[in-house]
Amino acid sequence: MNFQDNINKAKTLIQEDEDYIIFYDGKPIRTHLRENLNVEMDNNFDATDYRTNTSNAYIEEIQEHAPFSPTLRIRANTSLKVIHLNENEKYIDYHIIIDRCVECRITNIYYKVTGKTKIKMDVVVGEDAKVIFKNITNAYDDLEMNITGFCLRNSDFKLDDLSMSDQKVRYQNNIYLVDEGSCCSMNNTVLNTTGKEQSYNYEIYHDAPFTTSLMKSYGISKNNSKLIFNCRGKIAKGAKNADMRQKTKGLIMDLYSYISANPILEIDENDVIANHGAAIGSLDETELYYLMSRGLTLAESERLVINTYVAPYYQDIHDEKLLTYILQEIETQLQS
Amino acid sequence: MKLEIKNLHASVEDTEILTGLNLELETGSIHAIMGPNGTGKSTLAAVIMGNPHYRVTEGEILLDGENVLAMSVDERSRKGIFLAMQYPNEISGITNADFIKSAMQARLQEGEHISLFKFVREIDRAVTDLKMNPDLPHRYVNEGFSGGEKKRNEILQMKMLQPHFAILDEIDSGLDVDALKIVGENVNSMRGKQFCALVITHYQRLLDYINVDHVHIMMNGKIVKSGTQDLIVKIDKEGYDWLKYELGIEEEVVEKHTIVLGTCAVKDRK
Repeated sequence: MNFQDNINKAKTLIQEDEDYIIFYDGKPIRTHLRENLNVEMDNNFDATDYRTNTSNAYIEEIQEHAPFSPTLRIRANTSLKVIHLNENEKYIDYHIIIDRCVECRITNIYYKVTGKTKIKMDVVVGEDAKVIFKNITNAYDDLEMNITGFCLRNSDFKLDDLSMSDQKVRYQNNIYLVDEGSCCSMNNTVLNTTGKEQSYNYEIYHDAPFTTSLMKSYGISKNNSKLIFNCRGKIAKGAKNADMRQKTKGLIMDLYSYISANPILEIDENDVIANHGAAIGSLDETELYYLMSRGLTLAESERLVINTYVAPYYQDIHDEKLLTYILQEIETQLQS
Repeated sequence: MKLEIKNLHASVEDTEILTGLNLELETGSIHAIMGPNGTGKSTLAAVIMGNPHYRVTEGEILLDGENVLAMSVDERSRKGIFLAMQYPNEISGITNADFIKSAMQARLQEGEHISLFKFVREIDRAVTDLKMNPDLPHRYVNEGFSGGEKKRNEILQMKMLQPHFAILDEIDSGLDVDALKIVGENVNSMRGKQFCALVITHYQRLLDYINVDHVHIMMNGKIVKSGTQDLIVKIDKEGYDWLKYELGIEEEVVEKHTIVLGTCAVKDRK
């Protein structure tokens, strides 16, 4: 498929009059943005501005090698789609800054990622801003992904992530609740049918008082695949009244597939709430029997149960084109 | 329609629970099965529905002459057999309404679809009839439901699916007096030429609200006596001992072995 075909295919996901950006190899090539939204190509984003030093070798490597580091600035309420096509570039680095009091919904799709790729993405959620960020990754080659979110005072950040990549994957999603009253909800959905190991590291840092987080991770492992969830939460000294909750659910579809859930809670403050729960298992025969006793076939019953792991990701999507794409991709993965 | 159970033997693991049970159910009638604990009442319900945990070793179940034992669980359901379970499963992530709609859709021919308007109207009506919380259809199947809500939810499914043969396995357990009356009235309201209920219960109280035509007493894995409502009154007054005596049934005595789990701080006496 050539360049133009890919662009045309990506555009089928965009609704009429919707704000969108299409990136090709890390560079914005098509945009439809209102005047309050713009993409700045200069690289003056510095995570240390947000009071937390997040540097590490991986981030430095991408910062050093990525040819572009565009920053998307959102100054008004919007529903925006960002579609990434990547064929040749090994390093992708980009930033999204959401201004204070803005309410927005961003759908970020790694639509076609080929070649071994390392992606770094920073999202800054301004004071009193409310953001729903739906991330979809569908990579055809080995992928390393790093999403870092910074939540400022009283902001509300919902990061929903869907990963259904075909190869080896390593994820590192970190959210920093840097100011008082900020909250985040991280919903991760992973389908691993590759027969390979995929490792997902999710971290939430409560660096300020009265911060709230909820981390939910749902995983399905099939075709002798190995899926690892490392869910880390840290409540720093001084983050009084922080509320941090984690939940992991895993479904193992065959005898040699594997899911491991590793909750890590580091608590350096008294007077906080912190809990976690994990449930991993195969399809429950008594559940299937119950569903079948109402007339659903075994296949339909299995599909209904499996759907409970992926539905939390798409149940708030009302965009028909996007929903169709997601359901088709999920179906393809599960049938593989 | 007729559901015939002939000389049914069934076991779980190596223990035989049903030991040659015979029963005939016909639409237009309501039957009750009573009996002491552990006589196989719930096993009978599970075997009719096709629970894979149980193994049928002998006998047959026929639905209008068709071999039910050869059918899968879902096929039995689509043919009109329904089991209101004693311990309904909780299924997180599937709403009640979606589940019931999928089950109703499964009964239609390929290409046919349920009218959403009709479905919503029917489920709202059934929820009102059962005096259930209106948000219940939109909650996940049985998740966070009280014991009584779960039982009412089974009846809700029965009302929506309109089976020909409904087996109600101890539907009265966990129900308070008011809920018992509501469930009883709703089962009664389904009475008709195309409907038959088999009510499994320990107590008379549910049968105060359901008009049963036939009462069967089950002991040691088979029906030992059948009769009318008079049987219920007698059992409620006198229990089952008179029947055991009358029929010469002896309770199986389970041989008990003493097991020592462990000892500590015990000094042997010299």
